[in-house]
Amino acid sequence: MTVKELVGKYAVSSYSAYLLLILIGLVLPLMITDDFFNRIIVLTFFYIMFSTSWNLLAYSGQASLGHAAFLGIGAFASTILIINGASPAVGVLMGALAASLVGLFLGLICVRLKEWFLGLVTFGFAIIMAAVVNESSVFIEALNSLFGAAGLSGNMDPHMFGGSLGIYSPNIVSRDQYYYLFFFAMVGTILASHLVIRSKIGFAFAAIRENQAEASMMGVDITRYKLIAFMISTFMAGFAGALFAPYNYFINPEIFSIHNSFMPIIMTISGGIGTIGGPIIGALVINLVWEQMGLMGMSIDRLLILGLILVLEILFLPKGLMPLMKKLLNKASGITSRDTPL
Amino acid sequence: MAEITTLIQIFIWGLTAGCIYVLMAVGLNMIFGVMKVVNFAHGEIMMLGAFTSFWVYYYTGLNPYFILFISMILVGVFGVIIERYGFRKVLGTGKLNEIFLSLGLIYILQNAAVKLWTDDIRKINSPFSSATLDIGILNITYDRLIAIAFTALILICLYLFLTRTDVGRALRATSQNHEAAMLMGVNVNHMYMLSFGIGAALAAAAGTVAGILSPFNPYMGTLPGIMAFVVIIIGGLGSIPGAIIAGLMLGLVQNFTIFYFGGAWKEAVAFALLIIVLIIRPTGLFGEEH
Amino acid sequence: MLKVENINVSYGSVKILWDVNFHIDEGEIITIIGPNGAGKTTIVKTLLGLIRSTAGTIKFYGDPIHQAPTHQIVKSGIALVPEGRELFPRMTIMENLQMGAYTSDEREDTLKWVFNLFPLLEERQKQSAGTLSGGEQQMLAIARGLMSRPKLLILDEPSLGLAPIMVNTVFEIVKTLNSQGVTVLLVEQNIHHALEASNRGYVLETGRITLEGASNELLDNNHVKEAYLGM
Repeated sequence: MTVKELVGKYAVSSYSAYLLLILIGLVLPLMITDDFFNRIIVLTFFYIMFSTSWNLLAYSGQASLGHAAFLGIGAFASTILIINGASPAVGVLMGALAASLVGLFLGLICVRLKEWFLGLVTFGFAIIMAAVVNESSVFIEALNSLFGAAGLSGNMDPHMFGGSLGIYSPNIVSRDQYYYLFFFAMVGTILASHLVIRSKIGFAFAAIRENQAEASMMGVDITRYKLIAFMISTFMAGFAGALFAPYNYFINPEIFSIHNSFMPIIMTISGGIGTIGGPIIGALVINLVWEQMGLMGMSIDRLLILGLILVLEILFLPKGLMPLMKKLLNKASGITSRDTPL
Repeated sequence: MAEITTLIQIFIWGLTAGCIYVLMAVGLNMIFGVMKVVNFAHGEIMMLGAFTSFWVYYYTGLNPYFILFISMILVGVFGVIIERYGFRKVLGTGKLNEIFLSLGLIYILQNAAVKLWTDDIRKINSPFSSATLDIGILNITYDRLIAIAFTALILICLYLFLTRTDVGRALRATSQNHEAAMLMGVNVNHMYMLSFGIGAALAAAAGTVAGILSPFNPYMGTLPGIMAFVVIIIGGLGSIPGAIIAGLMLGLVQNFTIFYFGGAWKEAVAFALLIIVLIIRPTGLFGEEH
Repeated sequence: MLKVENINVSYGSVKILWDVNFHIDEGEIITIIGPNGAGKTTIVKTLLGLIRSTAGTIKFYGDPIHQAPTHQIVKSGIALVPEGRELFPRMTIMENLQMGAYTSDEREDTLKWVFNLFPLLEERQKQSAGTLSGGEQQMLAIARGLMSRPKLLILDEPSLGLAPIMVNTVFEIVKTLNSQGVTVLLVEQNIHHALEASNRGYVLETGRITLEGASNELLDNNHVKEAYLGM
């Protein structure tokens, strides 16, 4: 079966589904006026973006165990820029770019590394980021002088949050505006991920993931494409973080937590790693389960259950929910089931 | 003179911290060598070791340095179970699955521990907790010296086991050449369980020592777990001498960093070391090509 | 002692062996010869349980072994000296030999026997295996294989990569071993030597046994002459 055939098959059955989802997304705020539910849905959008970002990197065979680092860099960089006078749009964009640059740096270290090295380096990096940001006074002073040199105001109080750097982010727009902001950002991220995966770049990613030596013999420039994967993925993560900061109103080093690195992993695996729909379904299901458990007053229990879900999935459902969904979808649209890699 | 005694103190602290890393890293390295699996939840196994010792101590009041061995056995058995019913199932299905499985284990073990035992701060009380060795104005707690001695003892036992017994040799053979070991009649599945058991037992020893030296709660293992990785990468994947030297080195560097720059930089320094080593010598200081 | 019937082996969707049949009697030297890629190593790995056959049976002294795990097959008395030696490089010669005797109890006597065959190994027993030359490594690999006191010794490409003089030594050793009662299966690309050293031979081509017979007859066979001996 050629790639084209696969894509064609996939396209017929899925585009209608995606279109339907977009329509639902557009009219949802009209129906849900409750603040709490609105927030859960916006958070779901956020997690879909974040998981899609993680999934794209994993698609190239590189599984980051510290993706929270890029989320946090995006959030902090954009917020610091905005409170120093940059416009929100520029701030968000620069935040994502900052994450992408750091991603490029980390990618350069990881390019030659095997899976477990890569996992460790990314995992450790998120923790280091938290430690660095925790030393906020040194950090803020350095930033102030940097901003001063760049012509921005650069007058943050180095001790504004005691020992640890927490920032109140300017709350830019209203609730429903945030909804649409996240909604379109999510659609954009998914679309970008879709376009990348379907392009020559995505083909190279898959080739590297499946067999690096063979990909290299086929003429794929391994280093280049691994770095491209890192840059795109971390840009997306930084973008999600940059949007999250003003929405959440407050950020602190907690954003670099292991939990935040863990969420996109379990979400993507629950949905189906290496598929475009996987992070969407996974983020939706896991976030709903997560919030529901929160409503039921669970705190430690829900972390424990999350761990159990991941282990059970790895042992018994390593392909996630996507194959099941696809079967249902194909049945509904009358197309015979055929496994596609995407 | 005070300056020098301070430095010696820090040196001893660095060594004891290093001993904990060494115990962790040697176990991880062994599991990696035999199974080619990296267990990201190794720090959580260490935490289980600390709690096992704590509870045995709580109910029996025995000497914690004796309990250390009980904890090693119990946690070792637990390690065997994790291998048999967890990692064995995903072996060969791709490295990522092994990594994700160990991530899930971190969540399960850590939160199960919080649920069962709360996240209150605990401490295993050593009978020597207030005794110090005084040399001039230098005073070192006996517990730190015992920690160093126990680490040395455990490593010597491990060395003798690996070089003087058939099973120990079979473990080494499996890590050097998997298929050849099978051809010698070694049941590699047994070696998998054994390596995991030994790795878990060493982590339990590390946890107990750490729990005697300082207070802990269920989150105690996360950082040492990561540091153990840093150690095996710096020392060279699969090299036990490398793990010992790199472990002690990291303990020392971190403690001197705390002294000169402050506690928040101790992880950053480890990570910086890791990156430098990976850039200059990706196989680690004592590692071989894989 | 060994009977292989209709063995088929596939790697994924690629079929490597097609209905392979052969047998080995006690005290023989049997050789399986054939070009590179014919599936010789696959046969050997299947015998040892490192690869599973999709169909067919392998019986050793009448017991089916084609589903047994490798370590049990080794215990039942088959030893393989694998292609490329596959020693434990960071272990000493002595430790490699001790590993060879992992399943065996009569270690001291075997060690004497093996050192008698390979005096060099006794001299250098503390040297690490990774530092040996190619020929020495092959000696050690054979010695290690003998340490389990095998009833059937399988040698996969023992002459590969060796200097001509070492090749002769290897085949001499095979004959010596056989005269001391070890049954040998010799899998070789060095067809001339292999046929001269053996009693019977099988020719394996693209996964099928195409010829079999007494070794001296095979040496005279026109196909063998043309295809492999360059005559």
